[in-house]
Amino acid sequence: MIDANVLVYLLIVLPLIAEVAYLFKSLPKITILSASLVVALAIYLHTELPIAGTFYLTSITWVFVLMVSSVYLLSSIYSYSYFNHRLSNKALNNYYALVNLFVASMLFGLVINNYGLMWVGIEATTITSALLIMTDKTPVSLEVTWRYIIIVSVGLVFAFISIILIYYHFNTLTVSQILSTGNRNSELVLVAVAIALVGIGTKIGIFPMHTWLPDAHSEAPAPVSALFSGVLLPTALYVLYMIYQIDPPTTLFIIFAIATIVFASIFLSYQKNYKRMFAYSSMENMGMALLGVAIGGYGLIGAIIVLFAHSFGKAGAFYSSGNILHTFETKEMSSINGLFNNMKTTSSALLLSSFAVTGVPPFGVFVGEFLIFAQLFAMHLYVELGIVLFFVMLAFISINYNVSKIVFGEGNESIHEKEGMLKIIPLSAAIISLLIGVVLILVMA
Amino acid sequence: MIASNFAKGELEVSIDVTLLVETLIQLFTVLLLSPLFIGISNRLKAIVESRRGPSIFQPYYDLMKLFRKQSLVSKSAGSVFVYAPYVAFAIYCLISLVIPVVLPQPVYFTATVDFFGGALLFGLAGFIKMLAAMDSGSNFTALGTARVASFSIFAEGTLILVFFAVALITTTINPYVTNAFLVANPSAYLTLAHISAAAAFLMLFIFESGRLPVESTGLMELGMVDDALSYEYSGKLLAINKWGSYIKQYLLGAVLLNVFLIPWGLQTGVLGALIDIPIMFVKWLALIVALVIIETSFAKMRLFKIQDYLSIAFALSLLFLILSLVAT
Amino acid sequence: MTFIAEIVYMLSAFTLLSAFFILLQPFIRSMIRGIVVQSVLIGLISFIMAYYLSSIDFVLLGILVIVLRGFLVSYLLERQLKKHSSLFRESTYGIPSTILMAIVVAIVGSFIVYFYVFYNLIVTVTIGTTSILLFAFMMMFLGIYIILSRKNTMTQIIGYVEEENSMVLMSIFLIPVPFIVEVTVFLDVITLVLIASVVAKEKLEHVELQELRG
Repeated sequence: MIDANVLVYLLIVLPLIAEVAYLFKSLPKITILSASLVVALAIYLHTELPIAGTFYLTSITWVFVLMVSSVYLLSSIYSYSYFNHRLSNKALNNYYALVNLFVASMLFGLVINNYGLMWVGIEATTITSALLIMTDKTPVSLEVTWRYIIIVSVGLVFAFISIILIYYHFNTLTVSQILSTGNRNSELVLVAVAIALVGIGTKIGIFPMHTWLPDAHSEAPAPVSALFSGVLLPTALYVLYMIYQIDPPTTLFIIFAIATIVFASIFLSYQKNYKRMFAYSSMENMGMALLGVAIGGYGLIGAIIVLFAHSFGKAGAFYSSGNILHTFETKEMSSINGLFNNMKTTSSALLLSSFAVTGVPPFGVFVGEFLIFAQLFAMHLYVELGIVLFFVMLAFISINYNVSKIVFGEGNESIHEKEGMLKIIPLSAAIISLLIGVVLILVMA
Repeated sequence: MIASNFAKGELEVSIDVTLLVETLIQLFTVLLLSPLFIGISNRLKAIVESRRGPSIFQPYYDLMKLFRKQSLVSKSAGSVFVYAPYVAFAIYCLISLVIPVVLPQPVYFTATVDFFGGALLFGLAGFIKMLAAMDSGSNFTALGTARVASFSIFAEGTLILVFFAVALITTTINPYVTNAFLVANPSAYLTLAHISAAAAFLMLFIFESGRLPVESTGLMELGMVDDALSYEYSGKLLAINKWGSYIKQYLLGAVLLNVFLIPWGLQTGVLGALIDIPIMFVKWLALIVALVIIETSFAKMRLFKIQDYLSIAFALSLLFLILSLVAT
Repeated sequence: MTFIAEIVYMLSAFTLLSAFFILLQPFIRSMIRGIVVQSVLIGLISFIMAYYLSSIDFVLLGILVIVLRGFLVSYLLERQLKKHSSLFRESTYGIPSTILMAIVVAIVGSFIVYFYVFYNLIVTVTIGTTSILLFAFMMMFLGIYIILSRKNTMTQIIGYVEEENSMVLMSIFLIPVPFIVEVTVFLDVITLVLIASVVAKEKLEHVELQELRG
C-alpha cells in the first residue's frame, strides 16, 4: 500500500515530470499522457480520503482535484487539434510547458495544508497562466495579459494581509490544525476573512474586482479560456472557502455573491461578443457558488455541484466557441447564424453547453442551483432568493436567446464542420455536464 | 480679568500697566524692527555675491520716501483698493500680539485667537490683499492675483497643517504654551513630527519671504508674484503695503524661530521684554545667515515649479501631522 | 518610547518618504533606485527588530528583502530599461495634482482602514504602538495609487513591488510569517516581475481599448 501523501505528491509532480519532454519537442503527446495519469490518480485518491499531513484533502477537495485534472485532460487534447497548423512546433511546446506548470500550481494550491502556501499557489497560477493568455500576441491580448497580471496580483497582495492576520491569531498556518481549533471566533479573524474576500475575490471575479475577467476570457485561446473559467476560478474559490471556514462572516459574503450575480447578469445581457458573454456567465456562476458556500448546508453541496458541472459545461462552451472563432474569425454574435445547417456537432455542443451553464433542468448546474435555492428558502432569506431567481432567469434568457440565434436560422454554405477531436471534445464536455445532472437526480430520487 | 469686571457690573476697566507696557514693547518691536531684518538680509546677500549692496537701513529710507509722496489711484479702482492696505496692516499688527514673536508670555489681545486663528488671520490678510489687487482693475495685478491664488492653495494649507502638527505634539493650540512646552521638553523638540513640521514651515517661509529658489519678489513680469499685488499702489498706500509685508515676514520668521527652530532663551517680564529684543535680534541674524546660504546655493525655479515646491511642503506637513498621531 | 522604537519609527518614516519619492518621479531609473533604498530601509528595520527581539527570523527576512527585493528585482528592472530608451521617462500629471490625489487615495484610505478596522481590534505589535501599522497601510495604498495613476508597464511593476514591500513591513510589525512561506512569496514576486517584464518587452504603454469595454 502506497502512502497517500506520496500519491498526492505524484499528483502535483506528474505535470512537472512531463516537462522533461520539452527537451525532446514531444511535449503535447506526453502532456496528454500525463493528464490521463493525473485523472486516474485523482479518481484513485478517493479511496484514500481524508488526508491530513503535508496535504489536506477532504471529499470537497477531491471534487476540485478531479475537476482540475479532467479539464486539464480535455484541454490538452483539444489544444493539440486547436493549435495544429496555427502555432509552430516550438510555440506549441512552450504552450504545453506553461499549461503543465499552470495545472501543477493549481493542484498545489488545492491540496497543500498551509494557508500561506495556498496563497503562493494562487499567485503562482497568475504567473504561469499570464503568458498563456498572450499566446496569440495580438495587441489586445497583450493589454489583457497585462491587466490580468496587475489587477490580480494587486488583489492577491491585499489578500496576503489576511494570511498575516491568520498567522498572527493562530500562530500556525496549517489548515487542518486551524480548522480543528475549538474557538475560532474573533474579530481579528473576521477582518482577515473579509480581506481575503476582497483579495482572493479579485481572482474569482467577485463583483467590484472582476474587471480583468471578461477581458482575459475573451482574448485567451479557447482551451485556455476553458481552463480559466472551468477550473482556475473554482480553485481560487476553494482557497477562499478554506479561509471562510475559519470564522464565517455570512452576511458579507451573501451581499458580495448576490452583487456578483446581479451585475454579471446585467453585463452579459448586452454583450455582442460570445466569448465575453460566456465570461460573464462564469462570473455569474461563481457568484452562485459563492452564495452557496456562504450559506452552507445544502447550499455548500449545491455550490460544489454547480462548480463541478459548470467546469465541464463552460469548457464545452469555450471549446465550441473556439471552433466557431476558427471558422468565422469573428467574435461578434451578430455576424454568425445558421450554424446548425453545416456544423451539426459543434452547434449542438454549443447549445448543450449553454444549457449546462445556465442551469436547464436535467443538467448538473440546475441541481446545484436548486439546492442553493432550497437552502436560501430554508434560511428564510426570501428577498435574496427573489433577487437571485430573477437575475438567474435574466442570464438564462439572454444566453440562450443569443446562442439560439447563432445556432438556428439561415445557414452559410461555405463553412464546414471541424474534424476529429475538435468536434468530439466540446460535445463530450457538454455531455459530461449533462450526465452529472442526470446521475445526481437519479441518486437523489 | 476684564471679563470678570464686566460680570460684576463694573464699567470701569482696570488696566494692568505692566501688561500694557509689554504689549507696547512687543507691538513696536515688530513694527520698527521688521524693516531692519530685510535690510540686513539684502546687504548680507549682496556681500556674499561680492557687491557692495544697499545700506541695512535702506527699507526705512524707502518707507520714508514713499510716505512723503502722493498716492495715485486709478479711475477704475474701487474703494477696496484704497482701504485694503490699512486693513491688512491692522491684521498683521493684531497677529503680532497673538503669537510669541518677541515676548514668550501672553499680552493684551493674545486671547483673541489661538495658533490656528493666527494662521487664519494670515490667510485673511492675504485674501484682502488679493481682493484689493483685483479691485485695481489692472491686468498686471489680475495676473499676480491668479498666481498668488494658485500658490496659496498649498501655502495656506501648509501653514494651517503645520500648526495642527504642533498643536498635536504639545496638545495645545495656544502658541505661548507651545513655546513654553518646547522649552521645557527638549525631547519633544527632537521628535520626528516636530522636525518635519519645522522643515515644512521652513519651506513655506522661504516661499513667503520671496527668496531663492522660489524668488517671488521684484517687478520682473515673468516671475513676479507678491509684488504684482502691489503693482498699482503708489505713495503712502504703497508704503503701508510694503511695511505690512515686512511685518508679515518678521512674524513668520519669528514663529519659525520661536516655535520650530530655537524656542529657548526668551525672557519674561517688562525688563525681560526689553532684553528679548536683542535676543530676537541675534536669533534673526542666525536665521538670515542660514537663509543667505540657502539662497546663494540654489538656482531659481521656474514659476510653474513653485507649485511643485509648495505641494511637497504641503505633503510633508500632512505626512507629519500623521506622524505626530502615529508616534504618540 | 524607547530609543530603539524611536529609530524604528524614524526608519519607517523614511520608508514612507521613499514611497512619496517614487510616486513623484517621472524618471523610471530614479524610481528603481527608490525601490532599492526602500528595500534596504526595510531590511534595516528588520535587522533592528532582530536585535530587539533577539530573533533569527528577522535577520533572514532582512537579508531576503535586501538581496532579493532590493538588488535582484531592481537588477531585473534595470536590465529591461537598458533595452528601451523610451522607458527612461514617463510623462506624469505634475507634482501638485499627483500629491493631492495620492493624499486623498493613500492617506484617507489607510486612515479609514486603520481607524475603522484595526483600531477596534486588540492587536499587539512587535514594537511601538498599534498605530505603527499605518506606515505599512499608507505604503500599500501609495503602491496601489502608482499602479492606478500611471500607464507605463515598468511603473506599474514598481508600484506592485512597493505594495509587496509594504506587506513585508506589515509582517515585520505584526508577526514574521514562517520562513518557507516568506521565501516562496519572495520567489513568486521575482518570477512575477520576470513575467511582467516579458510583457513589458512587448507593450510599454497601456490605454483603453474599444474591444475591452463593458
